[in-house]
Amino acid sequence: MDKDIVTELLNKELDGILTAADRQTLDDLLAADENVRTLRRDLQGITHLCAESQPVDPPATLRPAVRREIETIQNAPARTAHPASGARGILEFFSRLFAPRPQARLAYAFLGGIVFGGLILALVMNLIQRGTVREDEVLGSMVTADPAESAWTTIPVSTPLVHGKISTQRSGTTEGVQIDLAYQGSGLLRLRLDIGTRTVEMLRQAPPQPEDAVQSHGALPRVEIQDGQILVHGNQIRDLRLVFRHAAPDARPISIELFEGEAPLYKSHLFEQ
Amino acid sequence: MKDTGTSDAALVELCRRGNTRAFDELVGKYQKTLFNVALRMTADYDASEEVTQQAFVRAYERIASFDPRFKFFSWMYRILVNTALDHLEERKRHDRLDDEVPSDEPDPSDLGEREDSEAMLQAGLMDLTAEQRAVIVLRHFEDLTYEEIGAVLDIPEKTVKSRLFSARMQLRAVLVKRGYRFHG
Repeated sequence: MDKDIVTELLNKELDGILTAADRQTLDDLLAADENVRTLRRDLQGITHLCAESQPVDPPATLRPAVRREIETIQNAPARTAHPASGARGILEFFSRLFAPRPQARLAYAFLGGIVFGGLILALVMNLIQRGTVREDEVLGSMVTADPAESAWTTIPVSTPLVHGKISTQRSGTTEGVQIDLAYQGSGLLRLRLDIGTRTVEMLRQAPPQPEDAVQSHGALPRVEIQDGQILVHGNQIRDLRLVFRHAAPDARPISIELFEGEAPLYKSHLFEQ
Repeated sequence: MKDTGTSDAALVELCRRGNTRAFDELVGKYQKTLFNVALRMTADYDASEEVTQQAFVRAYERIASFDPRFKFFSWMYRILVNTALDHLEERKRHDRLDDEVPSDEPDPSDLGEREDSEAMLQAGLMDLTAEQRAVIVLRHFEDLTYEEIGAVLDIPEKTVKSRLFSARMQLRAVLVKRGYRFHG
């Protein structure tokens, strides 16, 4: 008995999608094997258990609480993101920096120094990272470098705010990912890839397109490579190519998540078995 | 998926024009269903209230970006499931930090006055991964099709099917392990 076939047929039966040929195969398996009958009884038992479950009434406080929140949002337009808020924040920072309180001024100057130093360091690290990429050498280990070819698997992404596709290819311990996403929201699009123990062999982005220039968040997305994670910030993620190397052939799938600010928009897994 | 009809579309349109009463009507219409999905996902009554409330607020904040070609209810489901997944992730992080403190793990029987089998089922659901639990909840408690589940979870139908099949097998295994007896 092939366990996978039995599982599939029994699940199809539960969902009412058995074909006539499937029905015949399943009937034969049921007639021949006690274990198949037991499995079928258990799976049907789960379905019945769920169907018998009675929904619970939500607390009476739920609806009024939502109403209050909505009213608060309605009555406090300043809470929503405003394009000028960043500029106001900078002005406020500088006005506090030069406020006539020496202690506060010193603290702000110190914090500003740390932030500035961090930005410079991140920029230098980013340049070093990009400078070491030898694209031809890395791509040479892939089956094909062109995501339009059949060796690549394409996952369409279609949510109310994000449209596009993600293409993947695996060749031995090398994995290629190409991301092309257009975002139609007004916030900041963030993408997070949980790559686990993989190492990033190559990172390449397409040059900015003329239409990108009209976007308010900058043409090229900002890419940060952290321990086990890759973070991308930008409102258009066009032709972002990543090549990974992993040591274990059974590496866990890469989890990919999209957020508008902190709000999740999309989640999936790449290289699922 | 439930027939949400044109009335939802009309209510959403009113919401987009700033009519908060229309949104309140949508809350009234869907709070029970969404609260129960949250309850199945979290096994925690209070957390489910918080998750459902947060999901409605997120929906309201983003109503302007809602694409009317989609069903409001699918969109709302998606926001709720994502909010519940966020909550579970946060709870996991919190639990890791609070390793020394006595566990605040929700009691699976915290579902009002339920039968033993119900409590056992919920405990079994909590033994699944959040992704597996989501497909079981949407398929068996909400009666969504593969296509609808795919739209809610933003995954291909093929993945819905394989995840659902493996989730059922896993649920069966954990229920058997917990001593649940299936009857013929």
